[in-house]
Amino acid sequence: MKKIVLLLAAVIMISASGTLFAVVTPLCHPDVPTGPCVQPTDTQLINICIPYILRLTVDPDSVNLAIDCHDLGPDGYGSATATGTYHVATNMSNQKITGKINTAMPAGTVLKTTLSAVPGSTSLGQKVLTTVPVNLVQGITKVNGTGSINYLLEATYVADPTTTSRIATYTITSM
Amino acid sequence: MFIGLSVFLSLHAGSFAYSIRVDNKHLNLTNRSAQAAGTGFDCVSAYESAENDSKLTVSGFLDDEKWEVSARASAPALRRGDVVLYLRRTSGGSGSGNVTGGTGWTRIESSNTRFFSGSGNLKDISVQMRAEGNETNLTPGVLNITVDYLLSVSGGGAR
Repeated sequence: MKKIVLLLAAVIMISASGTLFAVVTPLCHPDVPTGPCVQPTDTQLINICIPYILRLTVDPDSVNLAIDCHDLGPDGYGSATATGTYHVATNMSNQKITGKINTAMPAGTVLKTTLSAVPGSTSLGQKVLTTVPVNLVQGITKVNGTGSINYLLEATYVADPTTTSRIATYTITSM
Repeated sequence: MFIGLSVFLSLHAGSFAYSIRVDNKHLNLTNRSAQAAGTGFDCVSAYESAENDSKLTVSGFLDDEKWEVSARASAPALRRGDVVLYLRRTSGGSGSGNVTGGTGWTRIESSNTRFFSGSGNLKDISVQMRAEGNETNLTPGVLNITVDYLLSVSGGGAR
């Protein structure tokens, strides 16, 4: 009886030995992607802080709009145009561009501006620039693009002959 | 007899304890981009760790046993292609082993990508990380990327 117990114990231990060897080998080989193997692994969590991006520039820095005497029509109305571009970049959604001038235009003159749309946005067309911000482009979402700026200066016979300047400020902001 | 065999089995199993360990489990990458001058915007942003922010330790090998370290990364922004992740090895670590390769920027994908290889045991192999992306495609906030480092035997197979 004692011999039988010892023999049984030995059989169990040999079986256990075989199981252990099967579990720990082999180590995975990079050229043999399948099959039972052990692949030691460790994991790292990477955090990247993505900032809010909201950039707007206009080019050129200044434009000239001159109405000549011969440009005046028989009705005493004259106009001049100038162009520029703007560049916008944002990783936000539903932004808009507004525009305004620093002081009111002289009597008998009107300054209008049109900003074209950048991809995915909508131009609101030609708008009169005043000292109160006016919406020019809306729906700007996750874009890095360029659009055109078209100025139109209109004058009537009421306007005094003069040279003057205005600062146009464009702002990108939430809708 | 039972005790003797049990001890033998434990020691044998212990000799197969290959492991890879990265010391910095949570790594913050900082923005290294400079706004380009001129018109328009260069919206490619680069975020990098310091050269020695992460250190890998490979152990459990005999001196002449060869191994290879692979890496894989996972994040929705990686799958969409909004971000590309690169790793490079910036030191050889210390110990009885040797290490080769991986000193140039290696692009890490969602599947296992070979990074560098070596032999024997090495401690504190420095790794630098770089993430590049078009910043206008990246939603503001914290972007999380999980990087797995995987160890495998190369050359002569497992002992």
